[in-house]
Amino acid sequence: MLILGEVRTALLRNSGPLSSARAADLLSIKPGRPVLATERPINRTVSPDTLMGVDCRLSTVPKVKARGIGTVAVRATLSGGLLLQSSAQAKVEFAESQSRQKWSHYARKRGVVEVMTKAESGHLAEGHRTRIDADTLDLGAVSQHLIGLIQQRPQLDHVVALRTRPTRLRWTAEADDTAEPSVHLHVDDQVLRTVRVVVPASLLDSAERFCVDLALHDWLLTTVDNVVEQADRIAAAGSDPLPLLTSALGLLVKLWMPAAHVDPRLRVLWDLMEAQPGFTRQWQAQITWIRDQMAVRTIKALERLPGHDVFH
Amino acid sequence: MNTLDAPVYTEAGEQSSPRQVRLSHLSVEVGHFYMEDLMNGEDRIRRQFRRVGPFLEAMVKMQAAETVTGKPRVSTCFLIDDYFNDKTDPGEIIEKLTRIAGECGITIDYLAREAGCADADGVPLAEITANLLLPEPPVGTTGSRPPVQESGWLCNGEGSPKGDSDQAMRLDVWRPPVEFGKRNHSIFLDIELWKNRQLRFEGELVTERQWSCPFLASVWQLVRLGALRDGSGEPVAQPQVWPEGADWPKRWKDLPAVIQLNPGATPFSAYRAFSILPRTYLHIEHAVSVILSHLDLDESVIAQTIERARQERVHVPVEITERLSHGFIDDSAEMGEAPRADPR
Repeated sequence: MLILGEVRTALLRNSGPLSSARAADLLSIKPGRPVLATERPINRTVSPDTLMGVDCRLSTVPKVKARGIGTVAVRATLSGGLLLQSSAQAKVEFAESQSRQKWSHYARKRGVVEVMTKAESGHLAEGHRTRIDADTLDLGAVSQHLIGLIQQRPQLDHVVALRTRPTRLRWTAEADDTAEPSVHLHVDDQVLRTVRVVVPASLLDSAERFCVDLALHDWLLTTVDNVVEQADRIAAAGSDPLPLLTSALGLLVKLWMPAAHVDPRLRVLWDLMEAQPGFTRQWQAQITWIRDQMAVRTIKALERLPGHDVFH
Repeated sequence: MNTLDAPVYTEAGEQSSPRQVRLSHLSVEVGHFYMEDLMNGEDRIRRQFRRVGPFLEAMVKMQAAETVTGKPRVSTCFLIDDYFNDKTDPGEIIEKLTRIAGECGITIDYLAREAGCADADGVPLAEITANLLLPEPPVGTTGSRPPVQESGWLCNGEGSPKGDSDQAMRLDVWRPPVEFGKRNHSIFLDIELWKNRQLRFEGELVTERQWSCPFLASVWQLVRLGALRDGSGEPVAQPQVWPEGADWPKRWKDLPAVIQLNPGATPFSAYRAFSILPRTYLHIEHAVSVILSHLDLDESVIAQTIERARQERVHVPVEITERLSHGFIDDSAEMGEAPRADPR
């Protein structure tokens, strides 16, 4: 058993965080289907699933013929009223018949793609992580379409609170009852990350939440790194990076909440991420640096004020 | 209930379980008319109801034979076409309809309004249903292009590709349309679900979506099968009793979406639905069947209905289209011209 997925993470195009009521309104993309929300420890609002039919080649490594037919499920999540994610996933099942069935057969299995192939699930997983061609299943596009749709909604003022870069996290979750749960995160470039998760079959369906949570925290780390770089550039140019640092701290710090919404049985995966590369350690180092910078700059600003000699 | 947060903390927003509706074994739709047919005289109405009567009787008998308890719950309903024409007097039409039906031995338990299938007492049913559409992908659909849900059309296959006029002249370019899952040969159907039209409202141009007859008929069948819920899992278009002897309003839109005319009727929605219709509606019901087989319906509602039926030892198919059947009657004048001369 195998799930393929891709998550897009971006800052909401709005000048400030949305209240939970407005977040629910924003993600009401299907009248008649409920929006789900939790308030604690931070507000997390989830849109209803949207399904999309597909019938195409699936990527495999090594390359083997594989045709997938079924539906892809995509949903949007808003965390802290400000961090928008869309997550597309397809659960892969091996088809019993070698020909396309009538549509109701697939429509009933929400988010399941039946695959006709001689490839093993590990080959399909690797194919999804490493090789997407023009004619293979494109979960990234499905995910991108939804996030684009939401960013354009009239409920938003389309002003960005902080200049940031969206990220993509492509993931696979394989079921293996004999192996220890494991996670491997690979940073491909500034935008793309690939993640391989192995969990017992009973926890496979919880993998998506873990990957969305991982994508959120990876985005926060990436963004705070960029903020530090930007601040350096601004300071080198002789300008004051304080406004940037202040707004970054104000917006981002409260979003750091690793594994808050992840199945407790999968928190072991987070523990692995904390051990290596040490997500929270990195985060805290950066935040401390920003706070130090702010403190130093505040002191310097005060020194420039008339009567600054209180410090001498 | 989300088991994740269950041990220490739960919130209402994370829970959603649809509320049940009361269900009969069978809902029988006892005929259908365009509004024009209801306005002009009584002959046509009487002719149709006379042919519907024996059909209804047969359905009641059939349901009785199939019900283990021997107590079949069969309700009847009638859909008024007030979406495309609402310029009639409800009191007059309802009186005429129920009287003639009664003369032909038919009790109309529930009267529904087609406009109520677009908007049922404030719930946008047609829009909710449109959001459930799950078009079937042609081979080669990778997800890279969003589905053309905005077009307002749904088909059961892949259309014949359209070349430019030069190419269209050349026979070898033409490729036939293909029905998905065809059996040897294709029956390709392309259905207009809605069209948007520009209207002037208080001096401003506004876009209004006009739903097509097959689309509203699909909503109608879903309501009869109790398969739709609103965003909070509440049933929609629930019948409302019109107080006996109370005056009818002057406008159709002042009536509820579904009106209970017979206080003693068994529930409006049912495990299965049977429609007795003039044969001219055959193509509409074909379209309805295609639409209904391309919907992403709420699984929990479907499971709930099947489970309840199972407890009553009734088999209900998972697929919504398999819960619908039809009887098409002849609606021509010739057959009914001299009913009294019939040797029966």
